Amino acid sequence: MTATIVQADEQTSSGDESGLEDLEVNRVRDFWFRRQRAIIGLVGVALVVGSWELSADLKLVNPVFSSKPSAIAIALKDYFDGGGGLHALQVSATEFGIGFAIALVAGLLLGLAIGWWRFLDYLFDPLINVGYAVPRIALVPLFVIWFGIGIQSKLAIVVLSAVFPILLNTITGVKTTDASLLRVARSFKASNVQLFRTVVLPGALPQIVTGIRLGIGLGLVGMIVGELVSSTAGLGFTIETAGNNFQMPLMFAAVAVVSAAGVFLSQMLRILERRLDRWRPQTHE
Amino acid sequence: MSLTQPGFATPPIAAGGAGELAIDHARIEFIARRDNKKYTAIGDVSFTVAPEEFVSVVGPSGCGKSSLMLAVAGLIPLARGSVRVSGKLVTGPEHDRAMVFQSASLLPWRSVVGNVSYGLELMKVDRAQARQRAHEMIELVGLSGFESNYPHELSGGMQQRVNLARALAADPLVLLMDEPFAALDAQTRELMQDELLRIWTEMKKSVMFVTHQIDEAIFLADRVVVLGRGPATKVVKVVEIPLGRPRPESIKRTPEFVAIVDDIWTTIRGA
Repeated sequence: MTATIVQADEQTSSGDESGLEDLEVNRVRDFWFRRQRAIIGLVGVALVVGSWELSADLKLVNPVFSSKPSAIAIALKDYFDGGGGLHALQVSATEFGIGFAIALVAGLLLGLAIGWWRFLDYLFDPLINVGYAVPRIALVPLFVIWFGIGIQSKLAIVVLSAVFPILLNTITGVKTTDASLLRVARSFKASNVQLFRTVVLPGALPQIVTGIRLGIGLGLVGMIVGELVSSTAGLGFTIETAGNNFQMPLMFAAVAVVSAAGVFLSQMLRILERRLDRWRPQTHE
Repeated sequence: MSLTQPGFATPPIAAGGAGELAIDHARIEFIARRDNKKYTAIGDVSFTVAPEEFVSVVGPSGCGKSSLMLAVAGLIPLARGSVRVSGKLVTGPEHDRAMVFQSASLLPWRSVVGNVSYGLELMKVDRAQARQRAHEMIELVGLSGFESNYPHELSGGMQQRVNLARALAADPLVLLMDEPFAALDAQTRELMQDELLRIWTEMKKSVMFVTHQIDEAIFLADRVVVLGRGPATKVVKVVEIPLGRPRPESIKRTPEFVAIVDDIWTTIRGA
């Protein structure tokens, strides 16, 4: 049972003035405690960016190869201001979006089925193990031969990269359902559908979300590598051509866009997770 | 203190009355998956719980009490014999019985209300009705105010109350309780025993209560069924508890009570 600790010492201050002083100090301390994560994080980022800019200016590294944050910022602006950035983003987003959606649906449905029916597990397990072990990245040239240089080959890579973590985590989530909860549900004469809906699925959800997060990461990597190897448009294409032409600021800018997309997606996921996790005891803080 | 022979454990009430639990020559066998050997958990057990009667089942550790409970609930099959509730043969779980397991097994992602109405939800009871009933049960077990709390925020005793409320919400004829207080500390345990008697008096259900703690068995019950040592367990004695109700906790220290404890303890030791 959580106990709320009531501040019992509000009455014990020695005098009126010291009470006011404590309030002032407390307010500063409060602000710090609540914001310390953001403040410290920001300081870290500022330090990195600052030292990068400095080392380029002081010629500690060759600025032609390393570029610097100010140049990258300018390149970023130009990229989206008629430099083809918006189109590249659209292409990549489409590849990733559709590919990930397919991987999500396939991974979830297959994972739930395999986790639930032992027969399917025995059937698919060796295939999944082999498929997971094969480096999908190495198959990129093969996909280009099969699907051409356009969007389809990249889609195929995203699907194959993202589906495995989703599939495997969903299977684990279903398999590790709490047996005592199943027993309770059975004692109330729950049908298999009810068992699945009320016990298996909610219980597997945290594991599934983990799988989705991994799928996002691997899917993004797959998409970029696919575009790097062979494509006609997209953020990876920009990275490749800019790199080949030694347009370092532009290359970094495109990389930054990809990173930002990744961060954005995982933040969205974290928000979703937090809502789903409301019933859990907090492990830290 | 009168002793009844095993097999004659039915007090003179018309058989098949609503809420009567009749176990007739039950036998439970398991096959160990490892070596395919047959293990007989319960050899031959017969006794009856009359409507609105409270019967405790005690026995040495490992004698198969929990297996018997699972068979009565309909979760595992009998190798021989039968279990009937209100005259109807038990073939699987049914809403005329509800189980209270040793571990509360609450759905951790649901609040107290969500957990208590779980059984009703599975029975496809209308949502508003289910909530209403859940609130009544929550109040009955003394957890008013905790409806929106999650299981991890509750103590062990409180979780077991939710467990009990969930079982009662489905309005079963027979309540099956498998060492429900075993995981609680001694003080909470005594408190819960009092609470259980209070609730039972209000709800008037037949109860089959499995425990390995003898004083608990005697304190709660009208009759105590004593099982022998496993494997192939049998009933060795059925003890009538002539103590009146309501029973204060202090009755545990009266000479009559202690004599019954002694009697059962000796029986178990010697079995």
